Amino acid sequence: MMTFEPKITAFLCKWCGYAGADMAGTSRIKYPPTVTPVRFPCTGRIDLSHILEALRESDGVLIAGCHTPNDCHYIRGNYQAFKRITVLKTFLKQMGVNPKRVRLDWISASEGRKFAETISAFTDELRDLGPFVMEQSEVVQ
Amino acid sequence: MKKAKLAVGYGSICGGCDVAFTDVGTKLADLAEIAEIVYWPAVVDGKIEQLEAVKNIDVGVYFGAVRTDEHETVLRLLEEKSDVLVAFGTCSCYGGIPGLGNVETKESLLTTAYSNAPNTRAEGVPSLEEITIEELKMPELRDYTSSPADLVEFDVFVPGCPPPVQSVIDLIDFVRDYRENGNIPDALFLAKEGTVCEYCEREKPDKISIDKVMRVHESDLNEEECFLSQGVLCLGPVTRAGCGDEPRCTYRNMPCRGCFGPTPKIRDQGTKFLSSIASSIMLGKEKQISEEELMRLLSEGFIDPVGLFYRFALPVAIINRKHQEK
Repeated sequence: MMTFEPKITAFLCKWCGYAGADMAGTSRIKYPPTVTPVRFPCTGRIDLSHILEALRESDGVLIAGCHTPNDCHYIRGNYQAFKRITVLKTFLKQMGVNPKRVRLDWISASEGRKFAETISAFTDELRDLGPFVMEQSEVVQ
Repeated sequence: MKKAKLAVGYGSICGGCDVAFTDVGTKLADLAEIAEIVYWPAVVDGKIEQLEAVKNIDVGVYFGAVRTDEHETVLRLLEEKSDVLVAFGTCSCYGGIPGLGNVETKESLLTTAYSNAPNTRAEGVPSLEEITIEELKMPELRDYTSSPADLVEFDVFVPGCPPPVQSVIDLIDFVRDYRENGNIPDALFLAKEGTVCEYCEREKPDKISIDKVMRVHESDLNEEECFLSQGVLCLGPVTRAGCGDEPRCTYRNMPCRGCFGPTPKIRDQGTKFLSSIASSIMLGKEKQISEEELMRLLSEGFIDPVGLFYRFALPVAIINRKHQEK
């Protein structure tokens, strides 16, 4: 029987999240092949429409950046992401989408293990939630 | 010169667009001079058969969103017969206020309206299916509201809820120009390209930092200063201008609600505003408070993001209808 394998789109900041994923690779730590990484200059650059567009094509979106309060290369980009995603979750709840499909984590450049563990945990969580089908009322553009 | 044949069809509307038309006063007489009204239920009593019988229409105008098959029938008839198809009002451009029904399922909408609302005592809800009694047909409520602009191709868009007097005058002038020269435009917006902020004369700071989101009645509004810097949510930055050289709400000391829909450069009005406004909360002061405190401020400030930011454009948003997830 085919089991459901979730698709995760990961938005990673180039200073921490992406470097952390790199570290997981160079340290040869295993994690499920469910993730498609996208490198961003900073989590503060991520617009909510990026997340929603990514959600159209995947089952979950992971955002990983520098630890709060003081690790962000651009001083407070991580806080911008934190604030946006908090509000986005209220919006998702209203629209009947499980807010757990969007996950924000702080992963520093040295935390390869944390990156791998986050992916595994998120994959398990999404496996429980099942596939996400974006119900569109009409084809938009 | 021959008069242009004009037809006006309805979808899911409140009637405000008809009122907006009469608001132009004597200019309406000009319309009668240049156009022959072949179908317009509010002005010349007409049944759908009348629209079906018309051979060709020069200018077809559609009011409202699409929520039933009946609405779509009218829209398709207009599309098929009209040379120029006009989307009049925010509902026909973006789905408008009726589109907010998309946060509920059709069953829950009817239950709320017919039995759960505090002022109703009816038991049970009307049938969800199409009903035919003798010759009368009650069309079925669809699962969601769609924006007519997603279903057919319009030539002219007149956004606004309702469109201001100037837009109606522009539309009448457009009908005259079409009758004389036969120009058919390509997605012409009778509005401006820029944002409401560009026309708003309130004093705007370089950087907006909001300590607490305020409701209009909670704040002591300074009439000279930007709403956002006073903590009152105003959709000016993401809303298309065109409601007059003095934006009609901000000029009268009320924040913009976004009725002109997104500007041409924005994909999704509500999400864009959420992104920018969320990052303005405690901007530059985030590190002085804990993450829990910040989260509390955010969840208390934005209790109803859909109702606030998608009031007029939910059916064209990226996530535009209720999902049924556990």
